[in-house]
Amino acid sequence: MNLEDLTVDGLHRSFEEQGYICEKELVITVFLALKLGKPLLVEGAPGVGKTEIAKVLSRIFDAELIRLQCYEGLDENKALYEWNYQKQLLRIQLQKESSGCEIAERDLFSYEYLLERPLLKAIRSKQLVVLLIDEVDKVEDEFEAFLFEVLSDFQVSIPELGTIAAERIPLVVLTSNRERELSDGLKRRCVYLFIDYPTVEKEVRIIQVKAPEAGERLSREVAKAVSLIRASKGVGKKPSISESIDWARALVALGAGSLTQEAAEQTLNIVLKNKEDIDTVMREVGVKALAASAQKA
Amino acid sequence: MKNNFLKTVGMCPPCCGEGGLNNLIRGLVEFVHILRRLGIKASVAETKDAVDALSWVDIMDREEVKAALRAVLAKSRYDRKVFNLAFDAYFVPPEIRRQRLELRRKRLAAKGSALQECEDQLVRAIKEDDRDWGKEILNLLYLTVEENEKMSIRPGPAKKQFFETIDRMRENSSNDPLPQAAGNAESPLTRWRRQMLKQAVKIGAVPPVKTISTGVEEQDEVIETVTSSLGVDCDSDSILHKNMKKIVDSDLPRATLLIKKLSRRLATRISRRYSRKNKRGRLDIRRTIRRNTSYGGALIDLKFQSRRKQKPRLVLICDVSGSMARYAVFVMQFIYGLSRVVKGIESFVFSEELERVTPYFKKVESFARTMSSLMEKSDQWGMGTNLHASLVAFLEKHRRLLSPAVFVIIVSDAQTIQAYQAAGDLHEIRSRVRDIIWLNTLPREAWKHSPEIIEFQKYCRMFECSTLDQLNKVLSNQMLNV
Repeated sequence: MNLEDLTVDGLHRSFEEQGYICEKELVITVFLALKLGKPLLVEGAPGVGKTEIAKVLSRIFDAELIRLQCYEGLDENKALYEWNYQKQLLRIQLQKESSGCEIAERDLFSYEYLLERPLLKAIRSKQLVVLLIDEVDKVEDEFEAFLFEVLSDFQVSIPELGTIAAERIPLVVLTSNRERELSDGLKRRCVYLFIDYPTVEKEVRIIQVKAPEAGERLSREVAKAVSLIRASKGVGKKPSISESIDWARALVALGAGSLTQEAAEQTLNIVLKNKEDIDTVMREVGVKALAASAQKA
Repeated sequence: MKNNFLKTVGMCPPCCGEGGLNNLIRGLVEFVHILRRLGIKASVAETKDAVDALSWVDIMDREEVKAALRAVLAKSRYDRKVFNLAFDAYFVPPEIRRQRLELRRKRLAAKGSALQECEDQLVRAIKEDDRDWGKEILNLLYLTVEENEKMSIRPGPAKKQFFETIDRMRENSSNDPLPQAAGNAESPLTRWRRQMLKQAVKIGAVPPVKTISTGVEEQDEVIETVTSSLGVDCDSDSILHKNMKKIVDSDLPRATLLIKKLSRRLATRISRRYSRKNKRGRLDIRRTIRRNTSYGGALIDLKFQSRRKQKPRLVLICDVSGSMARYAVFVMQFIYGLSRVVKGIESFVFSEELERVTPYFKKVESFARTMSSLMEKSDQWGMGTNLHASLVAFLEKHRRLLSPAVFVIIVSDAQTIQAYQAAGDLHEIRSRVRDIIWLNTLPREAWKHSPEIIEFQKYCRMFECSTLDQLNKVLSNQMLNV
């Protein structure tokens, strides 16, 4: 697909063709990010399809996906570039042994000794790329401030080489699990998208696309049960969409055609990943009521 | 096309009559102004983005316009909720807007006369029996009590209790100066106010809405509509931004879960950052190489990155007097959520005296049970406030807890007697610890009217902290930046 000819409806169709079921609102936001040339900041609970947006975009535009996985302690060396120190050392030794004269500093800090990390790779790419900066809420404030320059001007400064501007502006997708609030400066530079847990209808469609073997009935029962679990006040880690899909697959694997009480008891640990949450659901909802409510037409 | 959009889709901002693109932009700017009043930090650049965004969507389609503006103006989940309410309240047909304004005028007129009557009544009651200080204390109460709500009080049992408290304070000379009397009168006055507000809401006379006047009637109306809708919500985001004092009992399980989540997140961040290290730190290869180029590449002069910092130690001193007790419960719960990464938390509560409560938290019990047994056994909950006496007791009995690695966190609205002496105690404590972080539940705008707070600020870093969101932000920023 071509960025210039992009329309909201066309983009929506492409998302669905790629198996990404979503509302028009999500598409409009992605569309605006692409048209305004701004990074897309996607927030939401884990497992609602934030990272998937970048993957889908890379497939739609047939662009390489460059991923920067964020974590506490991530610095410029790991995100932007690093000098190939081993190669530099070898060069210094070789130079000394062969000619005996010292090597000039500018020779040592040239592109030949530069190791590109995801940000620099995205900026120097001649082709359109999708740059995924995943879980940006995990980095420290200093690194977030450093991202400002990259995301607003699409250029980076390397002291030894000067400023490097993007050859072609990448499509940037940042995701955040909201472990901490991002700075206003970063948010100001982005178009914002929040992905909530899906409605039952939407989740049925997602399960049917991702696990067609589950069939319409079982997909609906799983979606209804998961929705009920998410609504339970005391559940700490609410089930993600991928866990709903896993639950449907698990039920199919056990040969359960429907979410009966017995099937739910056997497989609840697929969708709830700690004992405290399982106990809460048992206490607040009860497996019998969960199964009955899921099976209700 | 822009005017068609306004007419056909029913998006008729009040200031946009006939007049094309400029009117639309003016309307959009006014809408952004309302959003800012509602707490959304929309910059000029984002307003420009909003205008640009409209050129890329079908402006005949209300939902597309809403989605487009939301994408560029609302940058958090809570902001989106505020945005949705504001959009629906602002972009309405002119006739609906006129009706709503008319209703508002009637409501305000009724409220105005009711408030005047109440104020007269209060002044009369205070001045009875030679209470010549009545007007002065009334003025001081203006600083500490939300004015509109305070004025909607009516006679009742709580009113009687209020005047009894004031009389008691007048008899006791130690309760001078008057600001302290006003501070202490808060608690019975709050009960009185709550009771009267309930009655007023029941008969529909006074809406429970805090008004933020912009000076433009149309904007005020939209802001009031949004704030009143936000007030009745009780999901996690609303609880996060709600004054902790106003979190009702039915929302406590949700609030507890939220605090657990927030404190766990912060604990994880601190534990990653503050690992103990005895060595000089990591080798800085880049600086080392550059430094050693002149030695022919031999690594003679090593350069190191700076040493990681250690886990913080905390001493928590919580005001649990009448106006503060509710806040203290939430703050303590948050702090104890950090116990995995914060070494040896020492906790104290105080109102008129200091009491060490650390042992309560060493028992293996749920937090709710710990707090209820603490409140049952402690004599301090709900009394008046004497920070000076409490800090003197702290310095006498617990001086050993103070060291340069310690953070002292004080949670109080700073409404205390003997404030200047307390500031002296604070000065002494400050000289012995890493820092004093004061979490003040009063709004920041009120601080400049309080000489006590200005005095306390000399010896500590004070932060506004009346919501869980503010609490989380203050602790995150301060404990990660030591």
